[in-house]
Amino acid sequence: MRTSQKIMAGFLVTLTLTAALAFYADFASRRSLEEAISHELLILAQETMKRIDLTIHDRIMYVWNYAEQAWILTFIAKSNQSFAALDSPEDFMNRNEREWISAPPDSPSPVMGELEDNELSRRLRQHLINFFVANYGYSSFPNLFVTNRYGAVIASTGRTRRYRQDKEPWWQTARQQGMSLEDIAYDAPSDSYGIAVALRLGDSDGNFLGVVRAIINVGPIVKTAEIATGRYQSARTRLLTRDGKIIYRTRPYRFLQDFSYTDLLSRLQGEKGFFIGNEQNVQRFYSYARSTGKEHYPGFGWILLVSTDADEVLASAEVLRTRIAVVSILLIMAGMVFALVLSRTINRSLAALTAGAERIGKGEFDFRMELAGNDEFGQLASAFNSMVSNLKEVTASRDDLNAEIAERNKAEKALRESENRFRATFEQAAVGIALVSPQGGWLSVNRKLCAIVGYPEEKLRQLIFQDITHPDDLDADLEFHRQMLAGEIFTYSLEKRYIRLDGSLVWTNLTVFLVRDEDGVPAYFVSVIEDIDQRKKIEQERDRLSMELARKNHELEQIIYVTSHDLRSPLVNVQGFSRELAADIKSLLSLWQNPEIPAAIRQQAEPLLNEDIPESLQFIEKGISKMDALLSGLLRLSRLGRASPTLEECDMNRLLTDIVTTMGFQINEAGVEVIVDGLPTCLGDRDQLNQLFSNLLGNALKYLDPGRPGRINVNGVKDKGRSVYCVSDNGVGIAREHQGKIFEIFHRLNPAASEGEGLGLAIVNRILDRLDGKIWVESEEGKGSSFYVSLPGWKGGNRARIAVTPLAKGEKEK
Amino acid sequence: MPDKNICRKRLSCSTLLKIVIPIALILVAAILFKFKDLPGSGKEPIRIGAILPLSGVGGYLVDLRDAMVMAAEEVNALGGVDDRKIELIIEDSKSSPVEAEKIFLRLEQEQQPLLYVSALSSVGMVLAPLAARRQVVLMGLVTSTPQFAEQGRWVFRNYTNSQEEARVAQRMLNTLKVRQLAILHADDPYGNSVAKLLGQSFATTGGSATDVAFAYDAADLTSQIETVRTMQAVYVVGLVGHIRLAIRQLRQAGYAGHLIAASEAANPQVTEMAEADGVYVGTPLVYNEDFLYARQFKDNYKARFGKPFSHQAANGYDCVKMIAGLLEGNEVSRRNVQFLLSQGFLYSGVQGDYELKAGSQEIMMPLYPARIDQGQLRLIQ
Repeated sequence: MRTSQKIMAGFLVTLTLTAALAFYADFASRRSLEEAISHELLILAQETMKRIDLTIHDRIMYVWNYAEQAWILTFIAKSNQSFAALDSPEDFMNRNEREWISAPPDSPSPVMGELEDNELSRRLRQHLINFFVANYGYSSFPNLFVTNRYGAVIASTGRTRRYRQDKEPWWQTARQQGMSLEDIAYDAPSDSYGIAVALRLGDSDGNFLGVVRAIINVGPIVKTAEIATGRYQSARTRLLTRDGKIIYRTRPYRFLQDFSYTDLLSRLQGEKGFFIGNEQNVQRFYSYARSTGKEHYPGFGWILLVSTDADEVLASAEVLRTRIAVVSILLIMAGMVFALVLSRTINRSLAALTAGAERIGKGEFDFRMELAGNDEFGQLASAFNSMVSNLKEVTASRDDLNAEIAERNKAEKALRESENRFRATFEQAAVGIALVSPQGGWLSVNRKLCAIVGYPEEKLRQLIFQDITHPDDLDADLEFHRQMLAGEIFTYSLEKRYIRLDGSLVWTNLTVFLVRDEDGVPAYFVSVIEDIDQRKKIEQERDRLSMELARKNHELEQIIYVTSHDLRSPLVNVQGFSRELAADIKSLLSLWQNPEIPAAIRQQAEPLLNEDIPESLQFIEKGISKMDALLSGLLRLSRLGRASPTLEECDMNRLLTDIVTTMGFQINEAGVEVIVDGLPTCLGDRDQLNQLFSNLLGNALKYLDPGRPGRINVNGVKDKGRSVYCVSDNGVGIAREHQGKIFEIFHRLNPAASEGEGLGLAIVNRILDRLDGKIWVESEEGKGSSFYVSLPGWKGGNRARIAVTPLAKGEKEK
Repeated sequence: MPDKNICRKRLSCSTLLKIVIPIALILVAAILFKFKDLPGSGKEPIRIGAILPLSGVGGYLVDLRDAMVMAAEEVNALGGVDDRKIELIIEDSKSSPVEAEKIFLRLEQEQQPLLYVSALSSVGMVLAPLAARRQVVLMGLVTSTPQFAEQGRWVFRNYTNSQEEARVAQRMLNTLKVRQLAILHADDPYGNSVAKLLGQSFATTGGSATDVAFAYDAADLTSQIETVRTMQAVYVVGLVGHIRLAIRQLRQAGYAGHLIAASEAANPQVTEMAEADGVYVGTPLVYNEDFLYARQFKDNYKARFGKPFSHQAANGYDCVKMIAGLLEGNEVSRRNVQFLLSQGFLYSGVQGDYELKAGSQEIMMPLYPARIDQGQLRLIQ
């Protein structure tokens, strides 16, 4: 579940629980309110019932007290006396009874009219009816009348059914027991409904005087009593008899209408109680109380039932419930909206924090949370930023530390490896290695060194290098030693000799460098000692051989020189004599033309003179010329060996231009295009270089391919301090098998096809030997050859391009 | 990833909204349903046609209308009658029987109310045969003429009647020991009947009564007053306007005898007249200041309409409350209304105890003797 969902769910649960709590509180308060209202209604019913009982009791007592007034008693006593004075009160009463009963309703009998208008009757109406109407708004007494001790009506506020009441049970009861109470009933004479009370009246001695009977109308009493229930508009009061007959009801009712058929009556158990029931589908609160009477009024077990409409009494609770419901819904909706906004806000913050954390997790320690506000997220972002800053520093430190550790580990590993390599190298090295203290003591030596100097390691380490250094080499070594310690030099190499343990000497090439500590103080020397004893011996042998070779070369050159020089004289002689001989032959031929010579002889000698001898002389001449050329070549060759070259900066462009100019005739004759590209200068002998490149160009011209126009390129570059020139042609090329021999003396590539003595490239080679130069050839037969000449370079150079093109035929050289 | 998160968040939010919104809608619907289910909010109302004199000579009976409206509102506020509200269809008869007849016929054609209430004897007498013909109960308020209750089983009087007027008048005459009486009455069924009954009653006591009638729409009673000015007592019976006119002109004529008036004089429009001071009136119990039960009604009425109540207002109030109570738990039909009324009942209203005896058409409102004393009615012993 996501955070937003949790927040929403949390809010929903909280608000729902709050709403549930509110509804529970409403439910509980409603129950409490219902109970309180029921109790209140119960109290109301009890009080109302008590008030009714009390009012009835008061009315009874009012009648009783009123009737026991002296004048009333006197009035009754007088009546009793007058009745007593009669001969037959019984007859009198019967007679009046007959008249009473027989009188029409609208026309009372004289007795009736008289007693209704007597003083007591008027006062009864005035004091017990009109007074109450005036003071209470109603009268509780629809009818009252008084009988004397004989049971005859002597005063009445209204019409009575009979004149004689002495036979009535209530009269008897009142007379005997002092009071008679009859449950509520319709009283026809008064045309009203009420309870009938009859009270015994007596004189001060307790003698029975008569009975006063009153009908007490309960309706107005209940109606007045129920005013207390008026606090609820829906309050309704029912007064029921013990057996469920309606005595009074707030809404229209029929007197003594049976109410027992309803379910409500069955619930009216006990003296009092309350319950909630339904009437005409309306929920109502009911409370009831039974009449318990009051002193002289015992009550009749009537039930006062008070009810109110639940909707009215619980209106406030219902309003509260509705408000709670509305407020709860609004709260839930508002809460959810708030939660939504809050969760979105938190989500955005969390998303920002998460995104930030991810970015930081990827190492973006420069990232900063941009969360506005001073809330927890703002504080968290701030703390986060601080943490990131710290983390950056810590990480940087950690990285530095890790890097340093890694570096150190690497260094250690490298050191170990280096140490191992060094050790391996040190031990397995083909050269002797030693760590030597600044004082010259052997700190560490490898096996090779021990082998070179012939000392065991332990013994060697007890010595200093001065001990085993050849005395002739020691000074130089110590001087370097000093210079190094003084910081003047950082390393030096020296070929020196050590005195081996067996006393023999060993040549070594010593290379030394100094290792200083962190403070720059010399720590130790590292000496690499290469055993060059064998090489030294070879060098010595080579030097000896070189010297021998030089000597022999010199001798050879002398021989060549002498030979070529000395042979030239006889050759000249031979040439002179052969020419003499040729002249002689010519003279002989002219002589031979003499006819004196026999034809036969002439015929035999003539071929000799005309053909054989001249031919021989030609051969001799050719031999002499060739010999002369050879001797001249050899002489030049020997001279090259004897003459010291004059080294100078040579402007090769100019040099080649001169050569091309010199060879212009040949070039034009051959129809060859010669291109001289920019040539670097070099260090050399101008004359010899002239001869050298003349030879190369001559060879190129000599070995042109007749099948295509000749083309000769001369160019050059500087390479590693040397100037390398190339003379290339598109001539016939050199077969691979000849390429290794072309620089040999007297070697000719195609003796039949070309002239020459085979000395050109030998001379070139000899010149280059003298100038510290080299030559090599790259050639492919049928395509051409390139001769490369490497000479010591000279600073600077000219890249001017000199192009020498062959003159057109007929064009004179300028 | 961020986009996916945003997508998921939107989904979750929409899901939550899909949950919350229906819940909220259900709760709102529940509350609305609850309000909708309030008592009386959806059932057919109980319509009572009230053809009342809101103008004309009986125009003072707007009190009757106001009190009926107040009573209906109180009943409806408590849920009505078995969840059915009472709807009063109040029409102005303009104190005219002809107009009232038109209204009755129109209402019968258009709305057919459960029962009709009318006021004024003259109007009631016209409507009574119509109600009988249409078999709908007509209840007459402020209708005292005896003949009204004799119009058949569909017609009921809910007011004091001529007999009660005569009875209480006789009591006052007895108290005042009047032997020579002039009965100044409107020449309408109500006035004529009271005059007749009182004359008969007064005659039985040995007194001498002179019957002096005036026109229903009379504006000057000078000639009639000239006739009665020598009498020991003058009993005035008529509508409020009639009584006011009679009292004023009698006082102007310098009449010095006892002035006794019918119950209409209990109306504040009469009692508040300066000339009415000392006039004896047969009054309903509602004017008794000590009748606590009516006090709440009086206070509410005055607070609601800003004028003092009248017994006509109380009559209308009690009528509506009585009908509502009578119908409660019973079938609401024209025939059943008549049946319930025919069964008789007792009812304690603000006017006092009403009683309708089984088979009777008279819902009796008792009257008590009183005297106007400085604008107030004082019951006399």
